[in-house]
Amino acid sequence: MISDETLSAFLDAELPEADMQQIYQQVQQQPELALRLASLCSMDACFRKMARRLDDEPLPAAVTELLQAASQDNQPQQGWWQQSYSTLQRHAAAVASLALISGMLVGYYAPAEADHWPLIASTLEQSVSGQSYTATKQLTLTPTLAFINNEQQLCRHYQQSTATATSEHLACKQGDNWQLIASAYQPAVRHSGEYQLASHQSALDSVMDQLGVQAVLTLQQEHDLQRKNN
Amino acid sequence: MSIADLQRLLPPLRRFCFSLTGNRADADDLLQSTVEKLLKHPTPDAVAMDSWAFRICRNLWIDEYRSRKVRLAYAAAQPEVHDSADSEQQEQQMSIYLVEEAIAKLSNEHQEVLALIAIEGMSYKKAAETLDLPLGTIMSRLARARAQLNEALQARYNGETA
Repeated sequence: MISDETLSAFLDAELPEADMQQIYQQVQQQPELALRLASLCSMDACFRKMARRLDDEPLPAAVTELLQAASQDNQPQQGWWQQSYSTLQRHAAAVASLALISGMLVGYYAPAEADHWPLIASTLEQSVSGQSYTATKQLTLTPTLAFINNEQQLCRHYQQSTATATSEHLACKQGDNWQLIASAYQPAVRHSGEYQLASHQSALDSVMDQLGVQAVLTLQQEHDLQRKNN
Repeated sequence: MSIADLQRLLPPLRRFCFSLTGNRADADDLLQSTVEKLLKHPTPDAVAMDSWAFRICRNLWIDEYRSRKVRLAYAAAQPEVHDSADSEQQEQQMSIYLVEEAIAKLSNEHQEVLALIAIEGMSYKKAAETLDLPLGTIMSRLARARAQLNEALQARYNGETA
């Protein structure tokens, strides 16, 4: 007679493989055992349905407010998205590069982007942060962060490098289309050895603050999204 | 724990709260207290983030909510009324109600193990880590929980059809 404990562990596939096989064979041969197992399965299924009824309901307002307040509290010193930004090691390259940038300009649309935009948009759609992608012979893109803004749009921060310049950008997906939101450019030739990290950071930080960062996607979430898009 | 991590954990945490409390209002109160606590206390380095979140939730339930018995327990709760002509759907809803009722009669130790493994699909090892219990205890509690639930349901079905 198979004990309740063994049958329960069999249902959860928590037994060693040999035991799993042995019980599986007994289930095939003993209708009573099959009934016991079916009963456990159906009970678990009811239990799951019971608990999952809440999934379709909106979160309680008090919890949403707590999270909003927490994200606002974090923003003045170091925004929580920035914490994620720095915590996730994949952004290390981008952060390092910021230290070398001087005389940044921030624009809300750069005509030069237009030529390559379909390629850039396609890369944003299919890439994960922390990896470099060659869009054209002259243009390399390195997405550094994916997040959801206040309008529930997927947004990405990415670096763009050519032989002569490096730039940082923010783009958000509106409907099916990616839209460039802001860009910060590094001059092709630096005229001074004085690097101004703060000026650049505040430029794109303020744009991100305006967009509102509701949630930073984890690398796993980015991979899931990439699989879905591919 | 970042807010992004917390947001990802909210649906499973909410289900866990519901499994423990048996009603939505208490589940949402418990969820709120859990989120408050998680925002105040960083996740210890040695503990997995989700295990930590479930553990906080479970401890809050044990320490505060269960002792206060804030609202009606499962057994006293009424099944939800749904206007539906679909008899299969009604039957399914009744089964869910019967399971709710049977779960209410389980001890808290049995409820929490069942919730983590049967609903959230946690491995025994992860559940043991979350509840800070030996693996063998998880196995035996889960088996007892299922057996008791099964017995209660069989009795209820037999009683209804008699």
